[in-house]
Amino acid sequence: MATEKITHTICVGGPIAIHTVDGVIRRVRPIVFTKDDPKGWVIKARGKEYTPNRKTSPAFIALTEKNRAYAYDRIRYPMIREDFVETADGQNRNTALRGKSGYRSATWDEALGLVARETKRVQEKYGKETVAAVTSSHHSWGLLGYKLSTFARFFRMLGYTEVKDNPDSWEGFTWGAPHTYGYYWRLGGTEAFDLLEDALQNVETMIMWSHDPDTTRGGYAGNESTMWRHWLDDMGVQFIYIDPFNNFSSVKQADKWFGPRPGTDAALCEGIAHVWLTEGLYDKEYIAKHAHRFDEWADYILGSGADRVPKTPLWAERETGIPAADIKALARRWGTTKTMGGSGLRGGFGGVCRTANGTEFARLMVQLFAMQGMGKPGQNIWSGTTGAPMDYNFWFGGYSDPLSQIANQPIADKTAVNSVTQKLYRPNMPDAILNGHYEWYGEGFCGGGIDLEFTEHIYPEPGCSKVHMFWRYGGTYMGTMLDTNKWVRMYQSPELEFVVNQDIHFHGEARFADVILPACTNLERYDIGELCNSGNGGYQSHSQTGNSWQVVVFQDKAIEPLWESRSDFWIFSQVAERLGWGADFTEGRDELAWCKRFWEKSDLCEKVSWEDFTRKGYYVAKVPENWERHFGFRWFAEGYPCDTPNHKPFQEEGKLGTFTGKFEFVSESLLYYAPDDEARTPIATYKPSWEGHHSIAAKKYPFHLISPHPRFDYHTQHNSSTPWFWEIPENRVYIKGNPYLVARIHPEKAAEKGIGEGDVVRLFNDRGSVLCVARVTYRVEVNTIHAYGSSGIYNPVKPGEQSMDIGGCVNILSPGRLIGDKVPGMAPNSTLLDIERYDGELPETQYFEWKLDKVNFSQEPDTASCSEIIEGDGFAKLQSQIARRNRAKKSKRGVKA
Amino acid sequence: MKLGIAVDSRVCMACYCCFTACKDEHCGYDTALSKSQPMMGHKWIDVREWERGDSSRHIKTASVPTLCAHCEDPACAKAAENGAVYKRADGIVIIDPEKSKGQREIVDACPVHAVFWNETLEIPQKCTMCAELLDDPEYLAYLGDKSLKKPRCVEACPNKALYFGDLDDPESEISKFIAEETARGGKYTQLESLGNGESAVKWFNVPTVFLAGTVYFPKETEEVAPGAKVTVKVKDGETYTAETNYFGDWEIEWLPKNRDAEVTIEFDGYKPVRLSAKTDADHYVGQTYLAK
Amino acid sequence: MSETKSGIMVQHKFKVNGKYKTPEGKVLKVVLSEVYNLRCFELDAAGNMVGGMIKIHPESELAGKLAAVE
Repeated sequence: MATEKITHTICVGGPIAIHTVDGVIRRVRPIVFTKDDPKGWVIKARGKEYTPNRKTSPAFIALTEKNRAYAYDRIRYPMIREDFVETADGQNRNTALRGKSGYRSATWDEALGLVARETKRVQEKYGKETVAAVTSSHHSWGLLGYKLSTFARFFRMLGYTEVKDNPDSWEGFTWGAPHTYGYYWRLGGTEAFDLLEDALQNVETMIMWSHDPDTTRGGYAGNESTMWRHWLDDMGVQFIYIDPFNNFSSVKQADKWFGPRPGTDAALCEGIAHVWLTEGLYDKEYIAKHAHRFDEWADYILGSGADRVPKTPLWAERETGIPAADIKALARRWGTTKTMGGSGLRGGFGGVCRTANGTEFARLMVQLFAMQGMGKPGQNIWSGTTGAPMDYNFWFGGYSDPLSQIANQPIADKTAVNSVTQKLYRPNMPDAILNGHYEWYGEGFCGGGIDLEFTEHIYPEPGCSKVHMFWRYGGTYMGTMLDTNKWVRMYQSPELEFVVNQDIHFHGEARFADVILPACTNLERYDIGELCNSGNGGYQSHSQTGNSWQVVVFQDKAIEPLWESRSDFWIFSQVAERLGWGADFTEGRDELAWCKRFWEKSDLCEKVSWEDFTRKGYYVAKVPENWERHFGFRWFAEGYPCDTPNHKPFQEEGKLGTFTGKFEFVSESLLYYAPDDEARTPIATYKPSWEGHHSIAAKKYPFHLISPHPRFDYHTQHNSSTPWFWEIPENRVYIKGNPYLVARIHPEKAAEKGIGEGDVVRLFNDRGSVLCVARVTYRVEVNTIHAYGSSGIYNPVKPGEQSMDIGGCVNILSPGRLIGDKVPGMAPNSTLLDIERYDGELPETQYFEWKLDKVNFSQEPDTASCSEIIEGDGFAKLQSQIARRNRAKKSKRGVKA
Repeated sequence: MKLGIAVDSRVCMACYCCFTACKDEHCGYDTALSKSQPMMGHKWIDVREWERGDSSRHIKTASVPTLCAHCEDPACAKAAENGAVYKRADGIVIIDPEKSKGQREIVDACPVHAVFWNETLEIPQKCTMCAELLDDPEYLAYLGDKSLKKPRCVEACPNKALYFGDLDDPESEISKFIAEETARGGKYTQLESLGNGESAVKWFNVPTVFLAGTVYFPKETEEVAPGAKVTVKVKDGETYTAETNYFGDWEIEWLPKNRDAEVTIEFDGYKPVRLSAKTDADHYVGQTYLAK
Repeated sequence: MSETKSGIMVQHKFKVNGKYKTPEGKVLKVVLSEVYNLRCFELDAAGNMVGGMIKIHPESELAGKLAAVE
């Protein structure tokens, strides 16, 4: 057997060990700890001791990294759109053909030269702000390669119109919850320090509301926390799941599942509150001390408020479809036992926060937990995905820490500063480009202050030019952003004179670019990072507590970049070189030298030498046996200054981050900033959706589509490149060369529609249509169609036009509008549509593969085609070709030596 | 030494790590014991899932990682000619990729459908329990501990739904699991399709069927009825009892399949309710409203 | 709980991004302030962060001697 080299890396699915032979990846495994690695923490609870398995627990998506490297849809060469013409004035470039045309391969010199020339041309003609650039999140992992590091360094030095992200995984929590309990710096989420121990010792009931932890895996923690929930389950803790889809965690674990009609969750919250208020089942002392204007809200719930409607369980039944008797029983169980739960951020990226009523749901959730004495033992917002013991005396940066980005000091010698103030907002970028004028509120994530939500932006900013060049970096938004076809219209507009795409795979948006720069995967370059550390000062501060183990990994280069792909750092440094500031960009460091800076500027350098760290490949931080406990939110419940990490000044006095420092049942910040906002009122209330069962459109489109965060994908990154997943029956069904997405429908409605299990169905509304395969199941609420969002595959039958899609990109159907005029969140789970059995011919399946085949064969006549890689011997062929070449190179070098 | 894998269906959450790790190991590579698994079409370990229940009021799924059982007395070996299927001293059943060429009978003989036909090579293929890795002294030598060497599916499982080890050694992980699970009251539920056949892969806690329901006080009260007594009498069989919980829900698991049963619901001060049910599949017998 | 007599957690005396002078005259910028540790970088005359990360326990003698710099 040839010698295997073992290296390590982290990806969004978790940390992995990589075996390579002859410079080709052979296999990908979890990291298994040895006797040299430290002991795991031990939690004592209810007469037992709990300690984690001695290995990392990556999700299955992490185990596909080898396949993603040699994927059929890998971009192998720099490519230029066949009918792109480099006109001197930027006009007449056949932009309407973007998305339809094929590509030709180019040398790096040609592609980089073109990109540099165009960047100079547009910036000289229109101003620096005419270049806009945006990244996806987490298509790779590591402090060097992450978007806030290398990408940010390049574009800030260049000067560009930043496209602000919306918090697309927890919208309602960001835009709602801070107005009730502060925590805007955590984007509406709460703190979970040491709550795993608290739960194991104290909790009796878990409310998993719009929460599917086995699917969303605490963000980037893989399966690190699944055992914890089994422990709770085994000790008899009752799990109550609330979701219109009996999700994958629920269907395994729930003691009770409630499926409310989509978008009516806030009504259920109000029904529960009604029971508590009328039966006295809440912590009156706590509320008296910690709540602001509680009585006014209570009046509203009990029917003496403005609308004079008591929010009785029977009232809630009419909206939600859940029997009043069951609502009462739920309220009583919650109100009489120690209960944790909730949703939002790491506590579940569930769909309710992405509905038209998402802010109100989030606020009511916080209010309900407040009513039960939030912060007392066993009473908290915590939903089983965070809060493990960790060594807080060990610090290694996370991706959102400005301290851990090569864009800034102390990692860089000089901090890169963007000279452009104009901004765009991601969900509405197409509207801005197409209309030439756009106004919006907010500042992206708005973690810096509650006032930031109300920042007014005008595009183009007075005195600024419009955007005429767009540089798209990382995974595609087709599948995650709304109303997909408006992105198509934007790409085909001559307003965008030049479009660059820099990505690893030929996914949705790459196919609309004029020039494509092939980036390599994490496995083909150096990086350094910690499992699930998103930053210790940022919006998910100490997110490593979502892991059983705190692991920093030297993300070694397992193999050389495949084909002509290169690291993102190399690509940006080459463009910078051509623009005349290459040395300033690199500060003379190569990638390995940058990696070492993160070791040098953190506690890691005290724990392990650079040589030992890079040789072994990872470092596990040991949790001290008697670690200092600082239970999340306990300080507030018990009235002492905040003792948890990541505090804010007002918390020093034991106050919350609201105007009054208390739970605001009538929000003073909303009364101040947006008293007339109809989507988000000072008192959080259930409001029928602008696209819901009370809408006129419901007559034509009677079903609610819910498209939660996917189980078989991460954003849009795995489903396209990993055909093995197409064989998972709950994910897709592979018919005639196309993997159709599963769409779930209730048996009653399926019978009405004449739809049978496994039938091809068409989901449609005025925005478009998508072909899926029907799964007829009692796991969905009767009015609901469930199909996972973030489809990794975007495959329109008429590419580049508004047409039927066979890739399962259901976001084609979602409304492009924001939650409210002053609530800049998106609401894909407020989508109405209809469904029918599709009896037409199944369309052709080769809509983009031919473009790759054409380029690949032109460069390498004996390579394998896309379809050979998917289901033939193409993968083995590629690997053996590459191994052969590597062996030849090695022996040639041997001869020279 | 008798190597085996224990499957605990109860904690399997169908995360597909085992499935992916198996494909990662075998798709595209010939090994000492097997030819390359085709990129698509084979599932040497398959997470077989089915929905349990006939109502949105009470529905769950079963998930059963299913792989070659490495039977004591393999049906595939009997169907094979010229020794194409053999059993190693450690109990692992291997299909010889050369000798088995053209022998489709080996696929058809498998009672659990864990053998797959390779159309291109015209050979039957299946799980090797990663014996080629277990045999290789260099594989995972860097970990410095032989006991950390496991089949890929077992290593990748985050949930302790799969255990591996020497069934003859009471100190092995698998033996300890079996002992603890038995003591806990867990159920050894060898796959039905194996009949009574013993095998090196042992399945635990694969569910049979449940009956469930919810009890309410009279409709106009809008109240669930906790504490109602539920008796399920299986015809010519045992009697099972349950009490409704705080949601008025009751559930009886592990019922014998394909029997007639009589359900009685009693609550002091109300008329008893009698329902008949069948255990042909998992059933939610309904929402029962008590009456005076 | 590591409360001071005044009822304020000691680490709260130090502001994130605040600058503090050590007895030897070094200027430190506090980049993270937690109950576990203050984490700082030294600033050079031009205001650049230099050197490695410095950890100071908020209850340590050194922490007591840090003086806020405007």
